[in-house]
Amino acid sequence: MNETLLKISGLKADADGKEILHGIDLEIGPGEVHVLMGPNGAGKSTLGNALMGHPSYEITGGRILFGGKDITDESVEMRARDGLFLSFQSPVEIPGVTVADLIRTAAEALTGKRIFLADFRKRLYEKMDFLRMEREWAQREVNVGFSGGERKKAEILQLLMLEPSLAILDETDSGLDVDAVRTVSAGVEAFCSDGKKSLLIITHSARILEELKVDKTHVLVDGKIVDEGDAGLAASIIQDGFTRYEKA
Amino acid sequence: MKQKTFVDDINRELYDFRYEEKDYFRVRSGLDRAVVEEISSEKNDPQWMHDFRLRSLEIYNRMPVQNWGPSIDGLDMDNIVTYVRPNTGMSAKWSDVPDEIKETFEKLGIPKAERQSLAGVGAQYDSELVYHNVRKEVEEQGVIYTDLESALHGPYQEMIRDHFMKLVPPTDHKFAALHGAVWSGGSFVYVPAGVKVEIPLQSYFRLNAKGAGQFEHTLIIVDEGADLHFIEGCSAPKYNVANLHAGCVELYVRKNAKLRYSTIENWSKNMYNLNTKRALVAEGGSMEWVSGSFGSHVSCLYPMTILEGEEASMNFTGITFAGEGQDLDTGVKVVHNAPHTTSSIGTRSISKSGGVSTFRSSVQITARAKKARASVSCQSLMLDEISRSDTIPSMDIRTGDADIGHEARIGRISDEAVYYLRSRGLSEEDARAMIVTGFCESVSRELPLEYAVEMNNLIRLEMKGSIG
Amino acid sequence: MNNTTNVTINPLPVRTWNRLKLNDSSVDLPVPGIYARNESPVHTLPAGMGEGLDDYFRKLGVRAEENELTKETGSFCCAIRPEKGELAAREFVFHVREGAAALIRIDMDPSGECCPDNCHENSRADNLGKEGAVTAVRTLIHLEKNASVDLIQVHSPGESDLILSDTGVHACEGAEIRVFHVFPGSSGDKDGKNAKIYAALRSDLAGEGSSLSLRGGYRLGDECVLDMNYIVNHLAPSTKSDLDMRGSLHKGSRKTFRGTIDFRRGSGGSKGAELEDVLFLDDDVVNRTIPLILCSEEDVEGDHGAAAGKISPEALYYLCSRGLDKEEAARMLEEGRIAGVIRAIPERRVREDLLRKVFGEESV
Repeated sequence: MNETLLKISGLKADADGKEILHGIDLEIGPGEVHVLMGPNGAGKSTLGNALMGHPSYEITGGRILFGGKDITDESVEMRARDGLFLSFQSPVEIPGVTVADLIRTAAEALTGKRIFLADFRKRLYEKMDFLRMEREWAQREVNVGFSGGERKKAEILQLLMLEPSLAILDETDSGLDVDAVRTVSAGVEAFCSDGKKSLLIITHSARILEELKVDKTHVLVDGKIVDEGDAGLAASIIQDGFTRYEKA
Repeated sequence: MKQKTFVDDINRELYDFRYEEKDYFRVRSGLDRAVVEEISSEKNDPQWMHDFRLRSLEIYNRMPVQNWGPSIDGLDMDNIVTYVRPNTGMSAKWSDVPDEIKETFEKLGIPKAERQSLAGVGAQYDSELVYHNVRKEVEEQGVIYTDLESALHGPYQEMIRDHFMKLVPPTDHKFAALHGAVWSGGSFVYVPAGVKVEIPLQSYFRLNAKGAGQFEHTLIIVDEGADLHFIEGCSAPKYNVANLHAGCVELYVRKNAKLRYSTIENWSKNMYNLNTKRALVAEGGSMEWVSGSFGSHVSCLYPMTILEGEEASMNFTGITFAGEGQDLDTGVKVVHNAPHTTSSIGTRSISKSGGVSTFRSSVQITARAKKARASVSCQSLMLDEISRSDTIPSMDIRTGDADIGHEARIGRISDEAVYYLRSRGLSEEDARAMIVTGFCESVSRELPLEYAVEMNNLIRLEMKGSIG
Repeated sequence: MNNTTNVTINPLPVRTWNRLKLNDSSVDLPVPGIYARNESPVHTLPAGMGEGLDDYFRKLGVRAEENELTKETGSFCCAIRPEKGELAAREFVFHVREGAAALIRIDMDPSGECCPDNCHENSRADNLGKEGAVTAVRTLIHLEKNASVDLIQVHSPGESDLILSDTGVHACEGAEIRVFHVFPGSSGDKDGKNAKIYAALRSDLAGEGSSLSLRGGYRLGDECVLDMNYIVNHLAPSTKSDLDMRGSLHKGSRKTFRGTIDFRRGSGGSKGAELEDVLFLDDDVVNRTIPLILCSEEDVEGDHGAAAGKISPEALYYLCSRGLDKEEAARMLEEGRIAGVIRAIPERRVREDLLRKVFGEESV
């Protein structure tokens, strides 16, 4: 079995006929925390969605290997069942479907096994309490009438309940107040506390990184990885911004 | 209760003028076979058209009047004189047109429009084309723009015969049958393949004689890849006797061609306007309707588009303003009968001083129309509590592989908006007029400037009043 | 021995082009030899199906069952379950007294199981020689001042069954009615094909400040028909209405939705809204919608929106990203429409009972 959990080689992706990612190489091992930073428009969300298999993005070159398996042409739900998770930047509304229903059905789809209501409920409320979400939220329709912060929390709740091996967090800390960031960070931390889960955190502010031990930082500018480093790189970018990468 | 503005009736001065009738030829009032024969012989109809008129008459006599929509009880066919012809021949130059008739058109601004280099003007006066002038550049492009009656004898007669009342057959409804029997005057336009007509063609209609009906027929064929904008605008004076307009417009948009058909209907307030307009759009073709309905006592007007070819599209923008004594039942119909067709409908309506405005639509998507997309948006504004506004949209969709959206809204002028404009110095009356003009902007911005100006003038006249 | 009569029902308050065939619907109903002997006249509170149904009930001799709902006795529950080949026709009249809060639940599910408490007896007719069961129910509700009603009607026909559900509401000052219409597809039969449901409701908001909200959710199985006629008349000032109808269509199904909001003169300060959303789960469907807004009053706000289409790619992607495949995602969205209606029922026991009944298990 391959040591590397995620291996992206030479990935090129188009959106609306225009090439956004111009050949991305990136590797993430199990239990590692990676950060992807870049200015607006660099293609960060595109990368996240291309990994998840969003139908609007067309892969025009390269390969994605996940757990040793080539998932470049795999369907979205198969990637999820393989253990990939994406916490969306602006999750869509799903009227009529409650948060609890979604999570339970997804969990059953992922494990292929029936989940007993009592056990499920207990676990769900545990996580909700941990994330300081009121229990009645379990009955609310997914994202309908949720504020930005509430949507993010709902995504993290799903993360904690579905336990993927690699979670991609797309701007999860943006639009949150101080307390919410703290809660979400705690959730993310709890997720990878066993040392076996991996994270790819897409951010340009990285308040969320304060509590985490970052293994590697990647900088994406104009669809290409222009720099890589350790936690220190992330810190310095937070301080100085991306000017050093701007063309002279 | 919220504050209201009491608004006076429209100032019709500009349009309420008439002339004494002079030795005009008239047919007997009423409608029987002999009348139709007389019309046919007067026009020197070819045999097929003569027969067609008589068949239409039979259909007319068989068919019942519709049992929905506004009442047309005030229309007594026995008293409608169907055919009146003024005593001048066709004229190619404006200077040859009799003064009396010229004055009518001057008041309506036709010479001005002429000066502003419109391509050609066909002006109808009492069922006959009086003045007709096709600009040189348009002629050179091979565009045919002529009166329909003489075209029946010209080189395009076969083309006309193949198309005449095929899109709107006499069996369509009672007044289509009437039209088929007594139609008179109107235009024929043919744009050859690939030709883009830079300047809009336009045509005016005019009704003068007491109790006369207007039955002009417009037939437009835009050949493959061609592009045309046609403007139809009309006006008529007020009479005590009911006037009837049962015209017919048939539009053929061929493969990848484009046609924009703009209208401002401003018939006087005793007219019964039962017009039928229909377009057939082939593969890749695009049909645009721009429509402003202001006049007439009773109107039934539902321009219909049939999207017959793949990727054909239709866009409709319209406004209806119903004031005192008016019952305007207008709307739009579209049939998607091919894959990847799209339609988009946006209408606004205003009701004031007891007027009744009804928006009626039909969107049909057949099983053949996979991946069709249709959207409808209608907004209605009520300006007082004695008027009426009804919205009756319908959708009939027969394939699951289509995407449809519809929204309708009705309300009054927002107090906050009036307050805001007043805080910037406008009087309440001006604020309301500005809001209503803004409400109609979706249509006015689609019209050539002079039409937009006429339309905004109409709106301002309708809105003028005092605060009570 | 057994006749059928053709009845015109679900008429539009304002007619439109006849060619569209939307002005009304016609249905063949059985007229058995002897049904009920009662000769009393049919109640005069107007309902949504129109005169056609009045005449039919008169022919059958259906007796109106009057019920009074007060602050003390505030609920009524009934299940109507004719067997295959039988006809059950009932007319319920409810007088909801001033200030009372009442719950009315009527289950029309021929193949269903018992519903809890107060289950009233069916009326039965002799064997009609027909395949399916025929259920015709009229529910007339008169709300006195400040009364409040939750009306739950479940329509669950089995294969080839026919259900007619007609409702009429008259609301006085300050009265409020919340209607929940559930059309879950068949509950008993596995294969509820060819079922037909005609549902109508007419509500006269006659008292100042009265209101109606209606939430409906449906799933139309293969070859099924759902034909609706909902009318809300705003007759008094400051009245409110809210119609929300969502559902999904499967192969060969045929749905007609007529929704009318009528602002009459004198209804100043009123608001009406109508929303319809249809999910296509097959190409071979017929979806007809005619949402009317009629208005003769200036100071009102009315709006309606209708949307129809396949599952949105964004929603599908989101659900797939959580591991569901397309079929599971579709089913979840479908069920969500009906579940959403049930979850909106304020009374917990009814809510849970219905969730259990429709989805077969307890939900969180």
